[in-house]
Amino acid sequence: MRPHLIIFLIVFSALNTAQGENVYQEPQAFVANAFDGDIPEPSVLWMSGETRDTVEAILGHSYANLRVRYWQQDDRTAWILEEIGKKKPITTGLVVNSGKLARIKVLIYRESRGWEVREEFFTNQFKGATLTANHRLDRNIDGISGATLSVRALTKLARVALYLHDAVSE
Amino acid sequence: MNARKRKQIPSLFSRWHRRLGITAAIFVILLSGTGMMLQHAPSFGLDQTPLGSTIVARWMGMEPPSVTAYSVESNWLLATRESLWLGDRRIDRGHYDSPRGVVRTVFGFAVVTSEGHVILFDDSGQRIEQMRPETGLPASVDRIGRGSEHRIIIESEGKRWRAGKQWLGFEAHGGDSVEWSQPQPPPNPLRKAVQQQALADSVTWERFLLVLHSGRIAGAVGVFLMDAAAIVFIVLAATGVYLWWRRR
Repeated sequence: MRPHLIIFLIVFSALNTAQGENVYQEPQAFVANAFDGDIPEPSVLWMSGETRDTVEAILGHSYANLRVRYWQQDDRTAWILEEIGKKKPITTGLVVNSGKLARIKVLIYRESRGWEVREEFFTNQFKGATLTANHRLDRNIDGISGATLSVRALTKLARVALYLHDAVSE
Repeated sequence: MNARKRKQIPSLFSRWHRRLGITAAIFVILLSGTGMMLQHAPSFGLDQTPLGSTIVARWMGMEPPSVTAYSVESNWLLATRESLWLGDRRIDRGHYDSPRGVVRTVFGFAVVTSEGHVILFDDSGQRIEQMRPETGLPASVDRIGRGSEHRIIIESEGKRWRAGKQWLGFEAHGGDSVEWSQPQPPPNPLRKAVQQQALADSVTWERFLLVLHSGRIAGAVGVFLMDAAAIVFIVLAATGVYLWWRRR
């Protein structure tokens, strides 16, 4: 094998698995898109009592913060949530409209593997998803080989966003 | 080699195989035990659980961490490498090696981390929200302080913003005088208590098992001992195979 080809392969391989922060969309831009540029004032939901218990049950671990920020216009809410895939948080934007998930988008991905969850072929599966009585999605989400933990993280966030939407809409 | 000497060789191998086997047993137990625990350390949470011993930490060459402290009304907030303390109680883990400021808020405290993020805490030290430039802050914060009417001001690359009371929005701030948050020397007993606790927590069970497994717990001598044990295992494998082959 020629030396320059070896160097190319080494560099390509290093870039392919490079750790770092990949920003696919700024959260503010995501929120602006969710409301066609007319961003409502942010609100906060304090996480206590049953709300906190349910969110922690969905996530499978304790929730670090006492409040979560969201944006609401009529029956449409937007959330910027984070969940750890393997080691680092995946910043995700979610829009819920009348109890149905209208959009889910990976905004910032920090893991070295599993970035495929940002692709539309995966996120489109969530469109129109609703929450069942036991706080599960009303459909199966097909996984991605090699991105199991990221798939799991996004599925949990979709459930959390749908639950929180119900909580603030009551 | 005569026939008598040929007969003595298996007996010699057998004798040394037994002696080395007894000697190696303690190392086999130590290495197998620590090896198995290391293999499953994350599952058991050993990578997060502090050993809690200042003696072991010092033995391993760890030093008490430096402390940056801020006095906020009647409370002290102290930051060590990876922890934030309210008095002598740890309230959070994160990048707190050199925080950029702490101010009192209507909820409790706002802490600017070394990365320029703002973390809000309530009076009891529970985290309310972590704010980063991509999730609510206008920019990475260089310093924080109080302007006129005690309003909280943040500054980033010379630009200033006034934080809303609920920290949900920020307004550009003109440049009246701001009293910026500055670290202060904490009371000595408090500093020592936090340093001791931080030092005790600086070695996790996983790290302790790792140095035990590698022999580094006893420095160069320990590493040499583990090397010697590895050689003994190789000799045992070779003599074992040889003795089996002779008796076949």
